[in-house]
Amino acid sequence: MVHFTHRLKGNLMRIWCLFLLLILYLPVLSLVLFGFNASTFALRWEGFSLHWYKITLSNSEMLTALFNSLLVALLSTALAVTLAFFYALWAHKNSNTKLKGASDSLMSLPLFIPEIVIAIGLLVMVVHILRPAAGHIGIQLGSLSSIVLGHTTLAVGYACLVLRNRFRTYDSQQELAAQDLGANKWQVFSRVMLPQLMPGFAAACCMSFAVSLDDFYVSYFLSTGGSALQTLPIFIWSLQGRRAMTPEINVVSSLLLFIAVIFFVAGLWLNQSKAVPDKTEKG
Amino acid sequence: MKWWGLPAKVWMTCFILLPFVWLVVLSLQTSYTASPPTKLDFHQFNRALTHPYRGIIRDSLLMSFAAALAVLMISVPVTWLISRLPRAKRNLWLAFFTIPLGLNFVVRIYAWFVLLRPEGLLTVFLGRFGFAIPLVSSQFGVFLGLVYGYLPVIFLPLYSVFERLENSHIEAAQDLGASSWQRWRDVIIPETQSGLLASFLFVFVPMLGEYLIPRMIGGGLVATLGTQIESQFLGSGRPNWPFGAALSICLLLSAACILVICFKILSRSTAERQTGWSISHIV
Amino acid sequence: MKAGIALVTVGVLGGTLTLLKKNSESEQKTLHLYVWTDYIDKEIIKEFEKKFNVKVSEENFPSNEVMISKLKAGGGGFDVIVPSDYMIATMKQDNLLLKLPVDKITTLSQLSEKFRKVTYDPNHEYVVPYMWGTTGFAYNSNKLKNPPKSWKEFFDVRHIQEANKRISLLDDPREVLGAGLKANGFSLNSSKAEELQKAKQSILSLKPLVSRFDTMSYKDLLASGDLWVAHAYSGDIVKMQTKNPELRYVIPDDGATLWVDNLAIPTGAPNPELAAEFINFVTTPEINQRIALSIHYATTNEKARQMLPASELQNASIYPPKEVEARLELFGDLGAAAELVDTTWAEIRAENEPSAPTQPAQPPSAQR
Repeated sequence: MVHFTHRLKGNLMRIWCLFLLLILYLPVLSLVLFGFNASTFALRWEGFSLHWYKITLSNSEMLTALFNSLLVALLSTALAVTLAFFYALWAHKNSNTKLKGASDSLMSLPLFIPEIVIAIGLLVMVVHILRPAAGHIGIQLGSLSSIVLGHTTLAVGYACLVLRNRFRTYDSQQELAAQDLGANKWQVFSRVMLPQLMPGFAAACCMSFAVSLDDFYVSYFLSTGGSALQTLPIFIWSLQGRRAMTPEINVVSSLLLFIAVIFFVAGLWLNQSKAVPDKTEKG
Repeated sequence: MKWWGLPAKVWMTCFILLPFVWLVVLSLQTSYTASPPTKLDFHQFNRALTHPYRGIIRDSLLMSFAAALAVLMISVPVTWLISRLPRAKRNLWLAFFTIPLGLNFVVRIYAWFVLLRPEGLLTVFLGRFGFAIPLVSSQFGVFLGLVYGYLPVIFLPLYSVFERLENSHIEAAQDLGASSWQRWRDVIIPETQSGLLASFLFVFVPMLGEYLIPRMIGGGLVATLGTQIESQFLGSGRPNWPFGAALSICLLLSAACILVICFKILSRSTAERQTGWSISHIV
Repeated sequence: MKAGIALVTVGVLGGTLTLLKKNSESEQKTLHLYVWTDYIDKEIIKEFEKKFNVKVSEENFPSNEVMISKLKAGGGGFDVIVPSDYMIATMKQDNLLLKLPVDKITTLSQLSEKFRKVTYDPNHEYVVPYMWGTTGFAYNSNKLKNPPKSWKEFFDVRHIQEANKRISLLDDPREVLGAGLKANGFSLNSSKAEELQKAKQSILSLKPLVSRFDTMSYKDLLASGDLWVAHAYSGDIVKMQTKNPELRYVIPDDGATLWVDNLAIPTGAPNPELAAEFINFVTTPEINQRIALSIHYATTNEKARQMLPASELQNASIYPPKEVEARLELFGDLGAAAELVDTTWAEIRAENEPSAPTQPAQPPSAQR
């Protein structure tokens, strides 16, 4: 009897899991399916066609938005990870400074504040403080620099967190050992520190990149203006705003999903091949 | 090395703290036209805390709380089940649940809207069985949207919480004759409570400032803090930045209150470490 | 080691900055339009791009108010905008418009009599009238058994009950309040607090049945059957009738809005000369009548009007007959009362729905 209820419970859990997967994927997959629809309306199925793929892929606005998104993500990742990397090194070396708690909190603010408030703050800042000085700094509302600035601010928080956590397992003893063995400062850095820090560095890059690519609020509030740079999420937002259910969104999202799947498969494959060292590292 | 942390600290001060200070200054002005603050008063806050805005703040808090709780409850069984799978299978199942994250947030919410709109597949399907509930353009619809939008977000942090729970403790409880309910109550929940709380906060805070979901799924009918803030800055009425700033500060303060309460419940350090750990695991 | 780190930092920052610089330099002149959705035919834009060897980018706004708040927020960088009649006085006051280079715009003399001396800009110093139309409502004749004929019926909860959660209102303060005012028999331009209060109550009593506040995508949702009744612009519906012939446009018995949209150049436009060329281009009779034919709004250009086919001119939804035209009213500049309209609108938007919207026959007088 006990065995039976146990089995039942296990099965219930499994059904629950499948139900959740269905809920998660139903909207997404129906979106993908209707991307192949010949009709202009997503509801009525009027036969298979690649018509909308052709239109979307030749839509230069969409491609520009995609390019913008990647560019912004690249730039803000570079900036954010640089800032966060040096901060994490500093925090690691000065772990008993009085101010460290406060500055750690400062760095993690983007994680604990609703994104919309950060976005509003940046909007107000750019309009009231940076724009009057725009002639000198060159930061205009909606310009590439203003959006990179916003994304960097968000990403620094995440990058810091990832790096700080990876640095917890950093072994300073090796540095001392290397110094004892006669390595100069540069050698210690490149031969001892870097190899240990590299996985964290890579993780922080991925995180920042993902944060920037997925960001909606900061781009939304900062991309006002005629020459405003449109990132992909903003482009999709404006597309759905002016045209309910245009199959172009279906096509864009199918492509995004395809890319996501590839990344996950690659990640899974990579993870599998280094599963053992990864485990010891987390310790 | 002493100055290594400086750039990041300066950056965050300039682009997060400074805008907040500026928002506070802005919120103490009476009208938008008085650009240099002439007379400071609490008029905007008075307005924010009276009808109808008081109700909106309360509703937003309640709705995000309910939705975050729902997300947590829904995903606990799944993540628990995955974390008890053989190691080789875990990543695969985890990937299934988190691939939707690779899709842009805007796209996922749009997909949800398309499925649930009055003529959407799911609504029509449910309507055949006599369930004619408005799944969009209502508070309930926005609640569902929040749950759907943040479900994949919580999986990874929650999984990492359960993953670290040693099987031996549970087996010990089992050996001592604990029922599965007792095991959850006496072993699993106490041991993971800080992680559960951190995961809860990880979805609750962004939900509180959500604009995209109430706007897209609520059709502009469901007023939340996020939609009201947006409309003060870029919305369909006359812009009122001081009032928008006051609302943003109310949002910030409510989020801060909840965070402080949660951190008070647990020791601050554990929660922070666990959140950090959970988030860094996402990569 | 310090030097090494510094080098890397400088390298990263330098690379970033060069990229930033490089991207901000544009190769080809771009004309930035900030217009209502589907307001200028894509083909025409392509022709303009070819003729002047420029690029045209287009952004859409859902209401005059959003446009202005974006312009005021410092979202400069637009070359051509399309504000409506009632907004122009305030825009002039706030220095949001540039004076038109009158010598460049040759089409002013071709304007129809009505639009020669518009009250908001009698000498055409700032704006050129572009298209006009009406705002009424549309319904799906296949779904709605008992369609409303007037705003009074539109806001009558008992009358419209069959379209529960299938109704949309425009996301536009003046239009929505205007409809509410008309339903109560007042003028669109009322600034009396008690009249606005009555309008607000009518709108709030309808709100539980409403599904969206939407200016841009409501027409697609109407055509797809998601919406059955929608507060709508005339041309949008005429255009959607090709996709869904069951749609009907109604100019309500108790009155509707007549609006005139105008082409203008905002302050801070990057390419004012090109903007003037564009304005001239789209108001040229031959081009203008093609645009009018594709967007189904009424043209303000007499010569273009004469070129239009009879079927278009006889469509009462686009060019309403004389007796219907008498029911139409223009929005006026509200002056100091604008604030009151604004707070009323904010209140309408901020009220959350009551708990039970599905109660069948709610007496329209039951108010919260």
